[in-house]
Amino acid sequence: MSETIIKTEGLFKSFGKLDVLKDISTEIRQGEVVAVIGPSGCGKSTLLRCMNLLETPTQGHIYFKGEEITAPKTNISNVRQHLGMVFQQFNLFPHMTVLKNVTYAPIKVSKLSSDEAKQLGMELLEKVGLKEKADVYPSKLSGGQKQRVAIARALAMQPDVILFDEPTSALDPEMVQEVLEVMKGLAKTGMTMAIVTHEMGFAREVADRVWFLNEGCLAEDAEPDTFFTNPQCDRAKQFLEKML
Amino acid sequence: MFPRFNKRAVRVPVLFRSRWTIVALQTFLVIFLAGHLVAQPLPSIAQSAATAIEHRATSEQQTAIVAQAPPPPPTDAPASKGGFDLDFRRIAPDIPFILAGIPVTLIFTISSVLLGLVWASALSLCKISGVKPLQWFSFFYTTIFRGTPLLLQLSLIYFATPQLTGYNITPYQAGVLTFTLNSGAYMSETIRAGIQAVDKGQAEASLSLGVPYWLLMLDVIMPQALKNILPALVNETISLLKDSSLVSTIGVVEILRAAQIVGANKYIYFEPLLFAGLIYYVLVMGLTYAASLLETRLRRSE
Repeated sequence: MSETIIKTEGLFKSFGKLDVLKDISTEIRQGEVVAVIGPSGCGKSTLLRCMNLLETPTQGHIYFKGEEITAPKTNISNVRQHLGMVFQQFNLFPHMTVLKNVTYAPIKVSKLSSDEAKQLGMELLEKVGLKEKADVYPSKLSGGQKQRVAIARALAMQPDVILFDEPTSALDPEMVQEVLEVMKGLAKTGMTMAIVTHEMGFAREVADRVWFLNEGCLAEDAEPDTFFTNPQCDRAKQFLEKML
Repeated sequence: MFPRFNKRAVRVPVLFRSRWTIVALQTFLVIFLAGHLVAQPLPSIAQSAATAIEHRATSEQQTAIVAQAPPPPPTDAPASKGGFDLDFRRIAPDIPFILAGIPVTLIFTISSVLLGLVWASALSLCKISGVKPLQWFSFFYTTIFRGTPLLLQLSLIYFATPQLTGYNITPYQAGVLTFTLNSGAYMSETIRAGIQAVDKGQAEASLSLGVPYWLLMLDVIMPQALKNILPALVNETISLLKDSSLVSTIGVVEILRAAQIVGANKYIYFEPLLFAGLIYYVLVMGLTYAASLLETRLRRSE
């Protein structure tokens, strides 16, 4: 198939006495869209945050495009330039305009010239449907618009994979659709994505694979059709009954 | 029970609509009164009051009061005979001398604030760095400079430096150095609080874009932190402006010292000191106004 972008091997993560992730070994291949689902507190967000080392694993190895990023000498900033992340709380920079939010990292980190960055920024904002909001401050935007700007900001670094940590959980139902549309469009272009989500319909429609986490363990890893019609483990059956 | 005061229903006079018009009005009143006193010294008011008492005292039971009324002082009295006998005309020739202290005070304040801010930022970054020796050093430093009087620190730096290092430190250098080190200690705590008050998600978002730590501190965290702590920093600047009068102990003539010199020369203390107080007041009001403009500009993103 295609090359492996992210691979975790024997990943453990504890916060003090609380074991959040237990022995997760899995991989994401290029072009795949993985939906990470599971009950609350099962470690979905922690798994994603470990992948770009916002949380340091207690044990285990993570490989990004073949290189081990948990090795002590890794320049994690360089790695993160290829790993985008979109947060539940958007986390836009409030003191910069929307365009500046999108072009900040390309200018300062990728060292693009300000004209190139501006052009790239405007293209991306057009792609997410917010071209006319380029000079507006984030506080004036609705939740759905903020999240779309956040997606454009992550795309500006031209990453190999984007991690979505519950991107629509903080939005009201009307705005959820506009963000999901953008994500569907992104998936169609072949971007590798890992999405923690509670939107089962979206997961079923867009995902290539579904990971079901339960109490820190990867309970099931299957294609969406298989998973949603015929889940293997009991906890998954229970979960789906409640969700659908 | 009591009707709520509806501000929109009451027409507030234009003069009181904004707090800045009120401050300007206050300042104008103070200057007007002081100028009025220069134009018409109080002794003549005391004189007319004495005359009024005399008139009332012509009634038979009040002869005792007449005997007790103070005699009207001569019209161009140079010296005060006690009592509330203000005359700003007496110090009029010395006013330029007192005003010459303003640039001195301002130089001390502005240099100390700017340098102090840089030093305080460095200290606060040490405190949140997680590197134990840096944290220990900055904690210890803060306790020393917050735990001893500013005057002590100033005297030590000015008098002890030549003794310890042989370098003849000038009063200007000693003053700016002491104020920088001292206000750095106080401001580092404020800045640390401001940094820690910024949402953690901001740092996470910047890190996930591949922005290195020092750059994210500079471009993302610090601007947001400073916007929150600006009032506290203005407080610190105002304190510094007034504490700058301590350099008079190491020989620099600034506003307060100049006023004291004028007072000591002529044995007239109240007028020069009142004038010096007025100058400080106007400077602080100017500073506060400038700070509010800065705050408005920083808050345009909201």
